[in-house]
Amino acid sequence: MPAPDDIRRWSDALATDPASLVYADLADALRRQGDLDAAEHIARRGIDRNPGHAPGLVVLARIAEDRGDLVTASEWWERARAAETRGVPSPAPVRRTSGGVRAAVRRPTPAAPLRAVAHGAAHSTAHGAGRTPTFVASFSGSRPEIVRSLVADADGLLLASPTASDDLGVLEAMAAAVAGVGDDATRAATHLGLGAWRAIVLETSADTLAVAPASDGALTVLSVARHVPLGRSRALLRLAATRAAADGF
Amino acid sequence: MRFADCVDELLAAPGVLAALVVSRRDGIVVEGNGHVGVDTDAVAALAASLYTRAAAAADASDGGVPGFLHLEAEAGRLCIVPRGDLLLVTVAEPFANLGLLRLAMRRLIGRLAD
Repeated sequence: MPAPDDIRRWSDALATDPASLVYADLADALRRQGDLDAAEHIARRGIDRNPGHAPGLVVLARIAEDRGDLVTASEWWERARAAETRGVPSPAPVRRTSGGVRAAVRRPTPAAPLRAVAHGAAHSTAHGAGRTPTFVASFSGSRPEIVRSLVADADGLLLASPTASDDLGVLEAMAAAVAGVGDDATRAATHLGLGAWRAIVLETSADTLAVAPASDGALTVLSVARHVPLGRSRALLRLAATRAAADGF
Repeated sequence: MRFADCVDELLAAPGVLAALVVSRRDGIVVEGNGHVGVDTDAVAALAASLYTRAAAAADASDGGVPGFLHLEAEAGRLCIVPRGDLLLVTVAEPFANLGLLRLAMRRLIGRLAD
């Protein structure tokens, strides 16, 4: 939760210089306090002045999420990702751990606010990564309808998961099992003339498995609670895929 | 309900290009029909393979009994519902109403053995 002093300081800075980029910090602080209308007003005004400012776009995405408007949130996330791609000349370096979990190490550059500003205090990631990727930060704990979420590579290895408290063995088993699903989906869609596939949703008696393609044959995978309507599961998948893409997956 | 009646009813739905009853184990068409240009044998084989894989992945996640599967692609949809060793499969245009199709397939698969 932001300190009142921070909000006052950012408000003063914005009053002194309406073009200041602290609008993103201020809007995110107001959002986390639950004042979504004020947060959106400030964020939109900031974006009007700075259309390509990724941290402001991220705050707008999170405001839309807080309102439950996942479609609009996806659009803002997409714009944020595009803005970050334009604004950050080189991607974060990537290292692999022995468990096949990819962890990106973000340099402390001015571009880092795309993750840092949007999510406030740093979330700890499930597997010890040194940054807070958007996929990891946004699907950890705050969405009880999501049982598990992960990104798996084309070889069936776990790339990332925000579900820190979950059993790593289950996540790795899911990653391994789902790799063949992507291959089969590609084969079916290609052979049947359906074009590129976008999503697979499988309802089960326990929950709903939702899978979307990511880059380089990787897959974004969600396990959504059974009581969640199919349409919402699909919307959550789109959002997760957008977030994973923002993380470079 | 006869397999052929089930297939005919699904094919009458807007946007449905093919409807089949497929053997889940070997991906062979038990009963099926489709618009010109749709290779129903390929649909059956690919649908059975995809469903088996997806069900295995779901099993790794939650161990639940798999039900309706929807593959969404740029130019169409593939929908699958299981019953025992059978799969009811449809291929549909992107504009086909997924909600209606899902309900119809679940209703019809339940009546197949009647």
